[in-house]
Amino acid sequence: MLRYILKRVGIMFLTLFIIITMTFFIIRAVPGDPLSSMARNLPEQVKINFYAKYGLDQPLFVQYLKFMKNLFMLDLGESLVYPGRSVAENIKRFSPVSARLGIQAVIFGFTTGVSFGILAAFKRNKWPDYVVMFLAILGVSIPGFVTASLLQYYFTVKIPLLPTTGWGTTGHTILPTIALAFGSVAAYARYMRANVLDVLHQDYILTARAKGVPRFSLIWRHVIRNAILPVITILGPQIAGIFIGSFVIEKIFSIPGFGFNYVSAIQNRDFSMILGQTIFFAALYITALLVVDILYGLVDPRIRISGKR
Amino acid sequence: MERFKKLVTLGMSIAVLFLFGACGGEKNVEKDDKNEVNTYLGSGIKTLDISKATDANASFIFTQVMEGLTRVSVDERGQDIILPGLAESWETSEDGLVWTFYLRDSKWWDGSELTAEDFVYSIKRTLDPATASQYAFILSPIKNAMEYNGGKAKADDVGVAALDEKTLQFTLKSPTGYFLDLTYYKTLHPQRRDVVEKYGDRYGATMESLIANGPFVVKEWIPNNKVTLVKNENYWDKDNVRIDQVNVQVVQDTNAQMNMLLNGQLDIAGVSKQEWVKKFEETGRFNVVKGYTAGSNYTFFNLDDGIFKNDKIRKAFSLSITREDMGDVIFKGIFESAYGWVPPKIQIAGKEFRSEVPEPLKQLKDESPDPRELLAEGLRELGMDENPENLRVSYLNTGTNDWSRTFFEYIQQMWKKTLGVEIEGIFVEWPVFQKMIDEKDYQLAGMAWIGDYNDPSTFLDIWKSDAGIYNTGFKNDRYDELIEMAGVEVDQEKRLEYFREAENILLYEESAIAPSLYRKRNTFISKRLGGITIPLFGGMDYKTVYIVEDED
Repeated sequence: MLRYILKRVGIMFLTLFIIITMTFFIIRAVPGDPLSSMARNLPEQVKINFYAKYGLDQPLFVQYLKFMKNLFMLDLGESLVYPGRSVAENIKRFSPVSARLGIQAVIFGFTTGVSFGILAAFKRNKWPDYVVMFLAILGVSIPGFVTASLLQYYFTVKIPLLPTTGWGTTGHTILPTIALAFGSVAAYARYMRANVLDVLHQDYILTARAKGVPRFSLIWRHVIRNAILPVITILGPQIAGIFIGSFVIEKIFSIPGFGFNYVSAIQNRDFSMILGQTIFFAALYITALLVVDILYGLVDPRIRISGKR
Repeated sequence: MERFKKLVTLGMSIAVLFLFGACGGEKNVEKDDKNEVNTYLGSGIKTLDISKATDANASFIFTQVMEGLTRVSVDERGQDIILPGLAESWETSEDGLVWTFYLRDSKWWDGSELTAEDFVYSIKRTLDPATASQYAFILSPIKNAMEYNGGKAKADDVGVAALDEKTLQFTLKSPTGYFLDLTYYKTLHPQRRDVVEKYGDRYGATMESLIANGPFVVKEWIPNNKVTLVKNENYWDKDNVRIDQVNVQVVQDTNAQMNMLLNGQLDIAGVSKQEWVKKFEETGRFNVVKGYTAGSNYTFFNLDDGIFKNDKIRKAFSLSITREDMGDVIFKGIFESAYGWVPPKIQIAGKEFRSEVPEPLKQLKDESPDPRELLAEGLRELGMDENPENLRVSYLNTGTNDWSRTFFEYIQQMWKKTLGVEIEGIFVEWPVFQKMIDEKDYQLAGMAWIGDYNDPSTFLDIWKSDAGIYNTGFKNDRYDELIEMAGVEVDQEKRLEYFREAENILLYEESAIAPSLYRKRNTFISKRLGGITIPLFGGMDYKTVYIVEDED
């Protein structure tokens, strides 16, 4: 298991290096530079001073070497559009916000989705099943930003119980979490329902029942445990995906998060910010995949055994 | 097995905790009766470093927390007027080259004395090439300013000096008719040497490094989230500041802004969508302030293009823009048809330029009522097929979103109907747009220009052939000469004449650009607020705002 993890970590660093190098050269190939964020043409002298200050007047490869050297010393540099703000500081300030939302949304989505799925499966073709499946279809087909806008409107104008913009208190996180998780609740519910139904028809359930295993134990130990495995696999990409997906939600609820920063850095051609955030995001994504693999091993003994050997 | 159970239990307990946390619900919006105003910014502030700030959000904060030599306000006719700020009085030399400002006794918010040296330091820091200020060019009227910025002169050569603690003197490169209009501008605000040096590059990026000398001070700044301003007890005119606190929230989504204005979480917001305008008017809770924003929307031509090198064709395209209809349909009646380039409310010689100078395109329109005729003539001159249906031209749009497409579709149908010409749209992001314009890789392009200061030159200077702002290929010797003369003339009446002639060349004679609409804003202000001023330049000012007592 340890060797397996070490190998994966090694590949992770190689992948990161390739991502960094590619990102560095691709963003420079796109027209525009950080001065574009002013959306007007500036006098030549102003541009010269700006390029000189941030080293943008040097050959691209020299800039690349300098960047890699700084990166090696764990220095991500300073934002080119937000003077005086370091990239690391920006990540430190904004990513916990997105992370909190993301984690809440994953937990909320996973637990409610899985519970709904189980409920629907056991009450198949009864009203709870219909309700859950109706909600699931809504959740899958309505994009997150529509849910978010609706929640925004109702909770601001109609029933002002919860704060609808900004960040700071737990209350601020509720609506965005729901908006963010709505789609995944639906996905988990549908997935879980299908899996539970599938497992219920397996021979070993019949055997267990014949052996007289109590109902609760049967459901808990035999049905859910087997049915939940494939659902965990989709959890990984979900965790990482929730960071990207939150751009729209962050905008609608005016949340000072990572997703919004990322997109505006690209629009502003804030080179150092784009790179720093890409590195952070890529590392996070790769780690998430790794964690899921390990988690999978914990849940499924077959994988755990092969991992040990 | 055990481990799995633990995992599930852990997951469940986190979920339960989360749900409980959710129900804990903090108290919602704090309401009215306090002496506070709630407003918003559409995005985060980039920096509050006076030398480096470029965005409108920073300008908004500076208007509340800073004060320059003067302060801009609005008179009863809705015109911008300049009031004394930190300078009690000022005088100009005969030749208009030397300006002397006499400062009043005033303090920074931390209680230390504000001196003329603070202004000198601020200006020199902005011009220092190592600062790399993007707005350094605003200071170009000052003698040797651009030379220092370009490394060709020393800091000591720059034409700004503190004669004593309370006397500040500027020496200008040439008489600048609009110099006084720069004195309230953010780039001419004072800065504290000790604070800037203490924080270095971090100055203006963090809460602790902020300085203030205006009506308010920043009490809290959470980037991309909110800014809280409180009354500055050390402000020289604090007796006229009537509110205690301004809460500024960052609200990015337009619908969210509207929802919040509707339920009272915001006191003020710009409203551009017709359906919202109606909704707000129905509530009867708002005053509406309509005003110009010192900007024009326009189409410009590539004068080196095979087709648009012909002035008759340019005129045909300009005249066939259905300006009134465009204002109504696309801009919901908020923007106004533009037959001139300099928008209303821009002043010169104490008068509004637009009321002194008739719009040149109106005359052109009277003389050539049929644009199709002009187009045919132009095509004939070029030896091209006279049938407009065989003409295809491209229109470069900045922006790739829905809105740019809606706008382009309107333009496309408009010229199809009025001229019979087929227009093809190209949609690119701003940086790409800029590159294509620089390389003259376009035929027609659409943009807006927002002025920087209250003088026609902020609109007309950019079309001087060596201005290097937009590459249209427009070069007219008389135009260049007029702009140069206006730049050095002391007599404002004469400058007005030069600008009148220059605008006439630009639009009537050459039609190098085709303005379409003057930009306006629609601001809804809660009736509980009084005394708000929204000048053309400098941004909304909360210094004079008060809460109306008897509001139901």
